[in-house]
Amino acid sequence: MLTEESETGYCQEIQPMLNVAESMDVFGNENVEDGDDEDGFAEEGPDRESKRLESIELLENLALSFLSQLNNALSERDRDEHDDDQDATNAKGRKRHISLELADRTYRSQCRTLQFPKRSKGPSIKPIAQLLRVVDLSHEALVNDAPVTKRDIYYRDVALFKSQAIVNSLVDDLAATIDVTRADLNIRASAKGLFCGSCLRLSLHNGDEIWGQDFEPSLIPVGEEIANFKFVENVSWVLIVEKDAVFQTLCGSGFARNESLPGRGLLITGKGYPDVATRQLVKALSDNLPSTIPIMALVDADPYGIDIALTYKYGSKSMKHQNEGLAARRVQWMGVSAADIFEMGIDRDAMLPITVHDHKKALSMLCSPDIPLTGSLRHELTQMLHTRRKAEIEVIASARQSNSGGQASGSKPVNPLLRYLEQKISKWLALFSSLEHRMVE
Amino acid sequence: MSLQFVHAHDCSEKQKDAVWGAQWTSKDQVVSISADGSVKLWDCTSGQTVQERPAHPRGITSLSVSPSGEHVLYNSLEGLTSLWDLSNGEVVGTHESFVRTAGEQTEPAWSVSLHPNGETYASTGGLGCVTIRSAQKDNFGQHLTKLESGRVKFGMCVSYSPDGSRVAFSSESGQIYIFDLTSNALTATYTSHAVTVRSFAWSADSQLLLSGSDDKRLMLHDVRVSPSGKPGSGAVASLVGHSSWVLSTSISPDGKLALSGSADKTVKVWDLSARAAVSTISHPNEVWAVSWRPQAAPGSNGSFVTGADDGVLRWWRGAGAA
Repeated sequence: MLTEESETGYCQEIQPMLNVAESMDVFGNENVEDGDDEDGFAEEGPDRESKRLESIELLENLALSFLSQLNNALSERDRDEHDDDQDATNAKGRKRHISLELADRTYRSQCRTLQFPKRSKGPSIKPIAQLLRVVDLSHEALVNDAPVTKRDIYYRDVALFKSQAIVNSLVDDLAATIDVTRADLNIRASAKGLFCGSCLRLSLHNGDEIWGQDFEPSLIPVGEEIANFKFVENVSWVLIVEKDAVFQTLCGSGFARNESLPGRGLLITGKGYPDVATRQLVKALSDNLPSTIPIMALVDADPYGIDIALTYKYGSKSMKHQNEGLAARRVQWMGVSAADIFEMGIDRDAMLPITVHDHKKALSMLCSPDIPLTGSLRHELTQMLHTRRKAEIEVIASARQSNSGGQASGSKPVNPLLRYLEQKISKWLALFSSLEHRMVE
Repeated sequence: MSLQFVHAHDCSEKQKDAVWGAQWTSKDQVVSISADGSVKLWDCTSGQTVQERPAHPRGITSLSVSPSGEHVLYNSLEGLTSLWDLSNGEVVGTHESFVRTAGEQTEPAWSVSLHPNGETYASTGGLGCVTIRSAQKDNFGQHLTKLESGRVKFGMCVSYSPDGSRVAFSSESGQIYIFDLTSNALTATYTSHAVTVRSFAWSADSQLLLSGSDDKRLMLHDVRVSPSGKPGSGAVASLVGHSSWVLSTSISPDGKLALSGSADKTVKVWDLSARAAVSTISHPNEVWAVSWRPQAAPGSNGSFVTGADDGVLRWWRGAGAA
């Protein structure tokens, strides 16, 4: 798990990525000064070190604040006991609280406070103990300069943390509170996202290289580990898939080098809501790929699917403090839309009824002023609520029966999902190149 | 037997999104609601907009017009209920049914219905019950009565009987419940459909109820109540012929014909005594709204208006009528 080279922040990370991508010939970008590239790396060393020291100091300050409050409270109690005989009522009224303020990640202006002692069902020292344990482990990781994963932290004290979710939220809370990124705390998530496509090659800081393949998925490493990425072949489209199952189907069929589509493709999945590493990769692609290359998201036709597409594009609510570095604005929602489903001749009854949660989620997305919905997404959510039906990507598979009659006899049956994607991607490619033409003119 | 209906004209300007509801009023005008958030009053001869409300940011799901044709009750996707007075163009009252109030278990309204006497309105939604609220200007939206079906299934459609003595609602799981308003008691439950009933219509004499469901059928229910309190014979006929969900229904003012709009992109006209389709009219899209003209011209088979997913209102009249 420990890597010798570790980067401190994705902010610094994106920079060299950008330089590398710009200097590549495949994109046809000229006049890129090589000096930029070296500058980017040269500045990194001391900057990284100072960041590390700064983070250590911030963590120590937090622990110090706790200790000094504890010390004050204890000395005050001693004084009270001393004065007890003279003025008992006065002592009772005095408050001796220890409180630690944590940033609220959803509403930046507010913060939540951990307090001890406090009236509560469980022991009120526990949240503070959990927080300080995270501080401790993060501090250790920074001092030893050896990154830990959130999973590691959980296993270091299972009895204290009880669940992974608590660790996850404390880590993000802590990062938001001392206003650094999670990577600055030297804490990482285990890799979850996958990519597939032989056109992409990643170089890691430890010297390893990850070569993408057309039929096999590769794990997307944490952004801090990636030194640079390059395209060894011309990539013409990028497809982000919500679901691992669909991603595996596409990998298995070698969809990244589908012959009916021009050039090579790149497939990415975050397996549901994407982790930071996946979003970092998508963000880097979004910043660096030429504008004629569409980056499309294929998600379920339900409110959560659309929310996942929006998470790639605009960032997530719980990671608001880190969103600027992660929002890939070029991601386009491709489908599956209800209109696509009807166009394929799939029966309405093949769609699923929406649940109470879907209904609430869709309504809150439609009503929230924070979520920038495009007309087509607004229409999609509205229609979903009105028909009270949703669909999974897999619903496309049921198009086979209804459409096979029109197919030329004797030809091999085509997976309806592949046919759907071929049509959709070609449409997007045509749209993007026509836009490009218009811009040139 | 077959009847001919001819396409008279379209609305002068189509909506930006689907028409989700339309009603032909006794003042010979049509009120429509749309997924684009608009509520509009149309002239039936010219197809021009007479009056309209500023577009709501979200779609309007439900519409109910008073027998006088002067008051229009409508409800939005998130549950904002409004009453619009056509005589002076003003909004009499609005109620935010999604706001939680203490001590009252509420649900955002989905479908609404204005009582024929205009004093109250009924709403249904996520909790599967009917809530009766005030429709008066000074306390619009005030909670009056709650009628429970005993099941928590999403309420799709609610409607007062034209005589005002009963209220019916249909659920996502296909049941239709009828409550008596003098005793506030559940008097009948019909389980003639096993899946969502999106729409139903009362006959003008309050004796028949026609429901349309995702099971592609329409069911005609005899909902008469004898003086002894014994309910009518219930489901008496099923009208089969659509190849997809039935989205909207309407019974002609004389109770002889019925209309149904479907996701199979057709409108069917049914002869209720023969229990058979007498006309099928193709539309380019799903038909979310159908409504008969309340006063048929003498000697004709009547006229009606349809609203489709393409945002167009279409007027139709029986062949032979002037």
